[in-house]
Amino acid sequence: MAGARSNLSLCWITLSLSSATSEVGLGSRCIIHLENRSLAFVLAASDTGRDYVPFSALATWYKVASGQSTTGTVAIPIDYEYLLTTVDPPGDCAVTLTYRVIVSWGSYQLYVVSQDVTLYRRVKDWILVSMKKSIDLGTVDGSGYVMGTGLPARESLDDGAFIISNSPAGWDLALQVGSISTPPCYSGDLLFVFFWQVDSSAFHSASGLKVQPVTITSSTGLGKSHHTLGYRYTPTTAECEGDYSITLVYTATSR
Amino acid sequence: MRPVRFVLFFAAILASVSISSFALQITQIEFDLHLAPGASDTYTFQVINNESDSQDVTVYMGDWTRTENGENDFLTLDSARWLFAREFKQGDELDVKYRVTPPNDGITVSGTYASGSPSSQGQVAGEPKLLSAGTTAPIESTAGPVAITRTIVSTEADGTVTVNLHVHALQDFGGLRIDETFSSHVDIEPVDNAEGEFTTVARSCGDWITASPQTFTVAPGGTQPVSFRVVVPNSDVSGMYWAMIFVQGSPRPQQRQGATVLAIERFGVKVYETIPGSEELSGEVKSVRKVESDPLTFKVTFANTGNVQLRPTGTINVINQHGDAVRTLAIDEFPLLPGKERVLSVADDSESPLPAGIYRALVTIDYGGDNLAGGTRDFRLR
Repeated sequence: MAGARSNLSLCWITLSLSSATSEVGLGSRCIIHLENRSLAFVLAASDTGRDYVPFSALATWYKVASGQSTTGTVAIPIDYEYLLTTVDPPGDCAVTLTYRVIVSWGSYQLYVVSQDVTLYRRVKDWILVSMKKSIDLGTVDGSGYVMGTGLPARESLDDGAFIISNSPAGWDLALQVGSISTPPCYSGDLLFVFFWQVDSSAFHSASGLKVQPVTITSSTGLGKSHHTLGYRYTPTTAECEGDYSITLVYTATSR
Repeated sequence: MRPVRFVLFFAAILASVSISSFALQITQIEFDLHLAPGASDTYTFQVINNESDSQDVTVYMGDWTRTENGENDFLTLDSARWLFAREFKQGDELDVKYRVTPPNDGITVSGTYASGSPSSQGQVAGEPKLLSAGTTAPIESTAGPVAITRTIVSTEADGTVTVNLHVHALQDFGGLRIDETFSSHVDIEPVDNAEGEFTTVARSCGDWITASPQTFTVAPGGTQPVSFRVVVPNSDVSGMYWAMIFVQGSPRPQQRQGATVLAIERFGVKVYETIPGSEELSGEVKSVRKVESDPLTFKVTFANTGNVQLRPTGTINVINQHGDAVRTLAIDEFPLLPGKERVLSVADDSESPLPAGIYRALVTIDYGGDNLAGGTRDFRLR
């Protein structure tokens, strides 16, 4: 019997029998080497087109193939899928699977040949950020003007930001102004009339964001986080005709 | 029974991470390297675009540090920064002075500023080559709320140059940021910060790192590997150095008219490089203050006086006049870069306050070295 250990991408295992057989049973057993971790290794025999089957428990045998008495070589490709979750911290982990071939004749078990294969997985400290990338605050005209209070504010209050990371130290999300675009006729301070908020808290002026980024949310551990971003623009009579845009840069880092 | 040989042949593949998402993602947010002097190596991470549109991505180097509250603070690579939170009145003038010792092949500097309210940005006027004291003053800009000019005050025999940044408020404004960006890494010594907050990264390894590619487009659902090569200098290096690789997405092309907010996702990939065998772990409790009585709250200032990042933990024991520990407050683990200080706020969340009396707060911090760092503060509760 010969075999080889797996690496990250591929493993080969060879089990050789020198006996007649009427049935071949193949099973697998999952041994998790790391403590306090939830690993979800999923197994499938791709030649049969079956769905991935999760390893539900240790020391449990799963039948993946069987055959009738014959001679020659049988090749069964096996696919594994590792379902990464947000609670998997960075580091190396390994799962050892034991394959066994049961050679039986009628109700008699003649041989059992087994072989281990170890699957390695390196989990890096990754991070994912998603947010609405373009927010339309509308076109300002004279409608809605009220003597004394002026033009009504333009708002967008429910723009989601979604961050996932497995960095054990947590992460920060900082906000700063990247650039401002105004028509040539405009000579005012667009940041002075632009405000932002996180999770329906108070609005903050964007005036300082050009000088220094602000950490708007952070996490002290791994996991996912969803926030609601709000933007408010208070038009004034200083805005001449044209298009106005503010580009905000959201920077995600580990802590 | 005829002997039969069976050979079972398995191919197993670990599939890649599958996370259903709709975002920009990078596969590694931090690199903790341990290369020896003169060594070099190349590392890779992936940029994944799970969005429905293609993304133009830019990769560039930067510096970073942490504020005394522990927040990340970003700087332009090889730069020094002065922040003024104050209000400026028209006609206000101040002078910021710093010293640098340029390398033998010389160094150039370019300066920028940004004001808060009204928002503006511009260039620092003055000679970009830091060589010798100039004979003519640079022409002051008249545009914007402030004019900043750079002059070289003096040049010493060893080449050390003292530079003056003259700030002249042309109108009232609030908040000012000045960045002086050098053509390569140089030690910057502040001489007079004019009550501004000075920040630089003395232990930057940004110049040791070359990332590639620096611009690329990732198709929807696509992945782009980004490699960076680190080359550690042969000599005069010890302890830990750090820098940041910024990975920045692009705004979505606009069809709309009117007022628009565009959001860009950016990642800051931290790179730490520690010279093996040169680590010095050292820390010091600089001060302990009681800032609130109810709830009882302390501010502890801890300094990293070594040359590598520390991740200290600690406790505050509150001891009464009989010597009994009546409170034990935990200080959770926090990262602290070498040469930096962290101000920790630690509050007693007990439901019942301590009775009036005289107490001692005993702070003990374990920073991973051979010794613990400690500090005390005696205080009275009325």
